[in-house]
Amino acid sequence: MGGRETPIDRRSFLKTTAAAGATLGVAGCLGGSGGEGASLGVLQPFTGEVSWVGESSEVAVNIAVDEINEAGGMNGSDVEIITEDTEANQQTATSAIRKLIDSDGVSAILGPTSFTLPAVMNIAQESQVPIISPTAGTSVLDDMGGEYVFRTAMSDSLGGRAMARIAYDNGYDEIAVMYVDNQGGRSFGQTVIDGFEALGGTVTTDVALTPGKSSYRSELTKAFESDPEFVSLTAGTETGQIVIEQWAEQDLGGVWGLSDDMQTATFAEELGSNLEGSYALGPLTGGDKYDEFATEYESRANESPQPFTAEAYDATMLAALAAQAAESNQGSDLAGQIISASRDGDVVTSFEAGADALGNGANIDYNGASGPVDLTDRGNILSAFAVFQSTGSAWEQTGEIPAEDLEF
Amino acid sequence: MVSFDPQFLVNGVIVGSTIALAAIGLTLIFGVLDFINFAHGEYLTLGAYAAFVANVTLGLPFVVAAVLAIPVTVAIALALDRVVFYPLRRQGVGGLALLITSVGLSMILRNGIETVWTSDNLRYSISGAESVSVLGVRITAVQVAIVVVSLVLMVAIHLLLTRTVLGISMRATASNRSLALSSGVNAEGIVTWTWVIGAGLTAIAGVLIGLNTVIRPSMGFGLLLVMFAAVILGGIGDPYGAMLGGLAIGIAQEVSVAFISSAYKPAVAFTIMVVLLLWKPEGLRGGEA
Amino acid sequence: MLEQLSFVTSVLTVAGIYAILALGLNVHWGETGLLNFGHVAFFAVGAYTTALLTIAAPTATQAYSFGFGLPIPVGILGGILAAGVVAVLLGVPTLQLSEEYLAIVSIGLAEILRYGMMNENWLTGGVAGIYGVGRPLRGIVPGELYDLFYLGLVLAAVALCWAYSRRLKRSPFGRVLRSIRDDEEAAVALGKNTFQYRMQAFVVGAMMAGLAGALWAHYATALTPTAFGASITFLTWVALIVGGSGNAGGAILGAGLIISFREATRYLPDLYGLGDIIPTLRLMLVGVLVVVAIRYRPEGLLPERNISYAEYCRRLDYGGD
Repeated sequence: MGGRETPIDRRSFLKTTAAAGATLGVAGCLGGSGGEGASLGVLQPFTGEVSWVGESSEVAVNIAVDEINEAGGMNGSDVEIITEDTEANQQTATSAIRKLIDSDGVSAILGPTSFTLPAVMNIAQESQVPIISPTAGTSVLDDMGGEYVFRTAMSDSLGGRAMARIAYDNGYDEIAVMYVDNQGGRSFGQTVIDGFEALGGTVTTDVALTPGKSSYRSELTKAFESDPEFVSLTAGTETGQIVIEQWAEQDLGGVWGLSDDMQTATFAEELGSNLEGSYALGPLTGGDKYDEFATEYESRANESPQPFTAEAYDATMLAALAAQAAESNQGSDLAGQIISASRDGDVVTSFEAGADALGNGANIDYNGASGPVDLTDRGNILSAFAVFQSTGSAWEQTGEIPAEDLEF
Repeated sequence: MVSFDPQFLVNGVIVGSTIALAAIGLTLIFGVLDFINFAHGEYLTLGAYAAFVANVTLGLPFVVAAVLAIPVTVAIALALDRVVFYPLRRQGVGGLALLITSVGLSMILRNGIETVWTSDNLRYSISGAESVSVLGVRITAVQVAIVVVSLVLMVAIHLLLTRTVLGISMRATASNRSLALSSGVNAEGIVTWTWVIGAGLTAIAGVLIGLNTVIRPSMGFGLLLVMFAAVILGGIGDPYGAMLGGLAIGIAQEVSVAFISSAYKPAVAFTIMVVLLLWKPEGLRGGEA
Repeated sequence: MLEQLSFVTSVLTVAGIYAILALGLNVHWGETGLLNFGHVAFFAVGAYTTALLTIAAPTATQAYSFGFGLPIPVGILGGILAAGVVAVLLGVPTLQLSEEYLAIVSIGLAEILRYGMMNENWLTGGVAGIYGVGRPLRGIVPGELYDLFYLGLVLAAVALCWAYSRRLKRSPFGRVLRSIRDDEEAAVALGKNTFQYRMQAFVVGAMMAGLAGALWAHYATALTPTAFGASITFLTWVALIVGGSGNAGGAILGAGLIISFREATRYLPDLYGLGDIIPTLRLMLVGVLVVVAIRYRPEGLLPERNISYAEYCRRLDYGGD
């Protein structure tokens, strides 16, 4: 029986692994327990295809938290951030949110995305810890929030109609629709189709793009078979860039209408002249406040703000202001103050001003970097969209779609 | 339903040739080493990133970078074999334990790559992306090069397998290991060469795919199941089958978009494989070694 | 500290569900030698079936068309049976194939199923999925204790499957399965209809996976197709092989170990500069655990006992060569 290596004794292997796991767990116990200070959880994808969402979200949240702490913190306590990775996967998100709520005792949760929000909603509801998501547009949420689930990102059902408006108002009566085949893409894409048809136009083809692929040439051939002059594309920057590059390569003609994920300076720059004349949707950002935020973001991240970062900043602010209004850092207390802190009161644009006003017994209406941030009773945002067009190297705002135009 | 546009066919041939290259590597390794290597996709990814580092980070011309990617990937594959698989082989451990180990290995490699380069899409610095219209289909210079390189390599492999002692020994070992051993074939030598050729081909496939599309950490893993489908289609251990299988699947996938919802496109490869296997369980070329 | 208990409870609940999955896979591979790489398909079928059977009828805005509002035990039973039915459908064509082919074909079938779930909105709600699945005895068990109650439920199910596996192993049926696994020709020569035995084992293992799926549905209360990808199958395989295939206790141990380790890595300290790469590092660590575990204990932590003489001799030979 020669040549066999001495196997590690089963007991020692088990002991070592168990010890390693236990040490980590105990370290977590000792380190993670709430109690002193306040904490906010950032629940986003930090690995995988959309890891940029988590990374950029964290930067934005940190900007907000630094401001809050400088102004005295949440009810006097310094705020700390705890991040957990959802991997854009339902199972992982479920255990991640449990850790944030049970083990870390966070006051509120910022995130997650459309992929995982429906899965973790119930957990938040039952544990009475509010979720304010800056990144979940899924229309599934339209009628579900308001008690413990809120969002500062606009629902896809609104975004889709805005896109339909862009196409219709610019005189196109036949369009094609392409979308990434996931929760966010589908709901947006479907709303574009429904919206455009409601306005009287025709959708010649709709094509689903399997996420995470490197080539969409055949899908492009299919979509452009009828020679549409306007094609609505709902995708993230990675997929979007691939689609448009391969479209340019094949010289297919027409003009694009891109969803807000792609309305970033980097995107316009990288695609350059290929994108000239194409449209993109974007939030109607709040003037000075946005510029302040953008400058700070750029100095920290060395790039201009990614999509949804202004919304993440605002979500954090809202959570902290709600805590001030409730005079408590407990999730169950501040949840009830979130909607009222966002509208019907003295307009404030910074945490300091808001905390002061609340201290004087006033109601506040927080207006933020991403817009007026007025939540409906269902925890949704309704505001105007901005229309952008590419100059061949950058996005330039060329129009606006007021909230009323989204009702049809 | 869309009228049939030969563009789909052309897309399919391009995609199919790259799958075919990677599948040849997979089937050879499977045949000679007798285990399903779930980390195989990662060799593809490593090849693409190695070329990226050479081309973009170090500034070397693309062709040089592409060639350099091969020994780098092969070296890593050999090192991994020595450290991870060889000790298990020596213990006589079965294929399943090796498979599970390769699952763990693939997690390590893929996430390791993502740790270093993040999940951003990367591209080589090379031009040639403008397409020309030939007989009504659009194709770029780069895409032509891809097909040509793939064909050349497939011919080279064919010559290797049929004209060289090494190639014949590899085929012998793949089809009947104990018989080959008793005929005096140097098993470990064959193993080494299998890794060299298998990983090398896969690395080139990675570079070509990165060239035709983008470079990302999940690029190899995402194609793993499709590569397996190609291997199964052609018969495990059969490199010619893998070539045919790869092409068939590539074409079928792209052409399917014309007829069914593109949301089902990834399922096409599997459906073909399943249907074919039920009809002919030995694979496309069934029965031949 | 009570909150820590809550997190531990949730980790153990997930580990328990994986244990049931692993036990099912153990019946497939450990007892019968079936290389099933599509296990997640049965998990998904179990989950969606119980969801569709127990949720309320859908409103106009929801994509899916069915919702029968039946009681949860009916749903769970339905999930188990549906998984069994799917096993029969899948088994008929595939159980005749050789090992490696079954492995790849089963992955393919599981993926086809998943794409079906993503696209057939009328049935599964498509990518948006189904949410609002009920939880058993929600009104009766007090809120703070509910998670512990559910954990108890899951552990009871684990115990049930474990006991069944042990009985199976010792039964004449189990002996035939092992003989098919180790030496099919001999089994055929003895007049056993190997296909039938394989099919029965396939269905049994699938039903366990269906049970796991149903328990998951009532735990997570929301289902989306992305949660039912091939990584669940791989994780189950890893749990089974690391824990020890052919041994029901090994399946449970493996599941507990892998899941606990994966969750424990969430506590990796955010050392200076390391913060950004922790998420990918965690996944790498799980991979390392797998490689190391197989390296030093290739037959698993709890190896199979009561092996046949032929198998015993075969294992002795591993030392040589």
